Amino acid sequence: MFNFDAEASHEHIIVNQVPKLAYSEKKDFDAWRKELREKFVELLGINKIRENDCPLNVIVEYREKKEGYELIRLVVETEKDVFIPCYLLIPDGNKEKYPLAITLQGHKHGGMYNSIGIVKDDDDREYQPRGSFALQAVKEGFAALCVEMRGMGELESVSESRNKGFCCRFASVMAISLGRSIIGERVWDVSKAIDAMEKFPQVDLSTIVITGNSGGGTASFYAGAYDERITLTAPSCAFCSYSASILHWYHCFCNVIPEAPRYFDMGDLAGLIAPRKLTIIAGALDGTFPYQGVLDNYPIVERIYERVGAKGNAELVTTPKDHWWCEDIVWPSIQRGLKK
Amino acid sequence: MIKINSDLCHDILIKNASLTLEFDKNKDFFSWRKELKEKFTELLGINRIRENDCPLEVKIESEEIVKKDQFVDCDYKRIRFIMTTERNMQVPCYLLIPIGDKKKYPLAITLQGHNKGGMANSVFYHKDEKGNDVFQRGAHGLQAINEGYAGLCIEMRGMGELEPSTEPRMWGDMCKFTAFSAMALGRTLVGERVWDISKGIDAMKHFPEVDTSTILCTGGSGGGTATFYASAFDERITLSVPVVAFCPYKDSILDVNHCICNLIPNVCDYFEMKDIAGLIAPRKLMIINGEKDVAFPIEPAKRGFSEMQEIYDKIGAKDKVRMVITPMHHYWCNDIVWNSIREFSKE
Repeated sequence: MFNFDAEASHEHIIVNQVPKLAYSEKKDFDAWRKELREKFVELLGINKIRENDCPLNVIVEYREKKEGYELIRLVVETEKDVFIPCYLLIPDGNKEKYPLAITLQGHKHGGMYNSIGIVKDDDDREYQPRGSFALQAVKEGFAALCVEMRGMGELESVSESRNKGFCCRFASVMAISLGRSIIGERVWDVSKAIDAMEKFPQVDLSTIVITGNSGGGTASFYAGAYDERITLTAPSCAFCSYSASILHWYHCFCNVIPEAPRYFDMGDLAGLIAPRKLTIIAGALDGTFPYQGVLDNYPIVERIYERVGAKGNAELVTTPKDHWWCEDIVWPSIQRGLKK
Repeated sequence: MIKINSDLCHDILIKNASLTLEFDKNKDFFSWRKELKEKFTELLGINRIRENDCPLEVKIESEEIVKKDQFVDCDYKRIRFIMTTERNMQVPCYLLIPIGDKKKYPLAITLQGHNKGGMANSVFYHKDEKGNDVFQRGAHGLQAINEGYAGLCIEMRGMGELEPSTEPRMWGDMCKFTAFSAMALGRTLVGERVWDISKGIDAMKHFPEVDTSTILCTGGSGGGTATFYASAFDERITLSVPVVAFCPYKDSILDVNHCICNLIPNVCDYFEMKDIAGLIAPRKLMIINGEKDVAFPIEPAKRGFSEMQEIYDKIGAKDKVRMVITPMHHYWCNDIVWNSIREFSKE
């Protein structure tokens, strides 16, 4: 009897295809980057999202004095009928303005409330304090912006029947049916949230860091590629070749960008970030975004940064852990990256 | 505080979807159908699959005679074969051919939905607690023999023997990982299934007792979905009977949680499910739905069906499309399905 490999046809294609917009030293860099950007924006569905754009609408719901910072709850209307809740934390201190750190959660139940240290159950308790990304950012001297990711936290579906799949799966299905992607929607929201920061004079938009873990790291990386105002992109446990990660193991459906691997791999997208700073944090024992896949793609990043004469602006930082946010490694790496 | 409704934007966009290839009785039917077929083929990713095409290879693994019994009315041949439907893709199938007076038997392609075991359910009896054979309602291939067909059971990608074989991929529950990787490659899993079904029909030339001038395609749930799309793609299918699978997208797969294998990227820009009837007409199409089905709700399904009737009416084939409603929920009603097929086939 024949021994089946149900995945053989897909694997064969994945292993043998050369992405059409793979980086090459032989290509004219600026022409390549222009083409890459157009395809990236198209495949993420951002052109479709743009059709539903609307004037920026920022509603401040409340402000609370906390120990060491002010907590501002705001809602940003990022497109017609889409209201994205956010938290902005402004440190108490003598400075007039604080650089901005956008911190994004991954697939952790509760979404962004984890970033401000809220605990509602044992699972949340176990996740703290390492999950309180925004509080960490404040201690590091940043104004911290938490943007709820579509399909997660407060943006999980309102209907129980839609939530039967893993948190953001139904929203991903809807997005893709509409020619979008949920990653594209998250990137769009992050960009609009940066626009919203114009309303907060204590936020210094000349320095913007974006970071997050896992799904938050993925969104960070793609947002860093899309929005050129982001000075330093620091995805944690998210960067990896597609073939070693999302096309090798089952991942949340929110990672899918239809046809993306046909055009580029993750390393190639560094061409949209360079020469801006890029600090990739990866776990040596990460099984979800395997370290070997990181090592396979990181050389592309190095080559791109060398090409633009910004070799020192990209760094790969390895933690000894698995799929884990290591705040004692992430934040010093970010600070080091900013000083370069 | 603002009341956040995370679904609102998508719901509104879907409700107002442009559907640029929606059926319009004022347009020329044949030029509309040509454009629809091109877009349908593109969105299902079949153009991408075609890039990986290869000559059809059919390998017979086993052939045995099975004697009639309490459940099956006649002796039959049970042939297991493997077909290579594209490079590096082998799809297992069973072909069940009645042994009787006829030289040739019309073909019934029977497809399983999201049932553990996949096509084995179509071919082999289940067992009760005492180990006795049970003629389960999912034994579509065997039911087809009793109806006088040669039954072709094709394993659906992502299910049964074609479920992912390695553990981290299996976390995705049956076909989810396969659907994910198909989409990443610019294909769809439903498109791959349609491709395989079409190749399954090609494979029948190796079996002279199969009459491919009459081809029924049927299945329940995921099998019904594949039936519907396969019938739209392959014009050799003469009677299409999707069971508990038809319903407007906005009331089914885009309203409640379904497997992602149902997903067609960007479909909202172009067509609704009922428009696909334009690719089946004037061939026979019988939709069977459950009155209490929550996965494919009946009221929107009825509305979709009446729109399908307009499509068939446009080309003078209104009698070739039919809807049958069972009193059940998301359920293959054996008697109703086969009685309906028998009746409709005669007309």
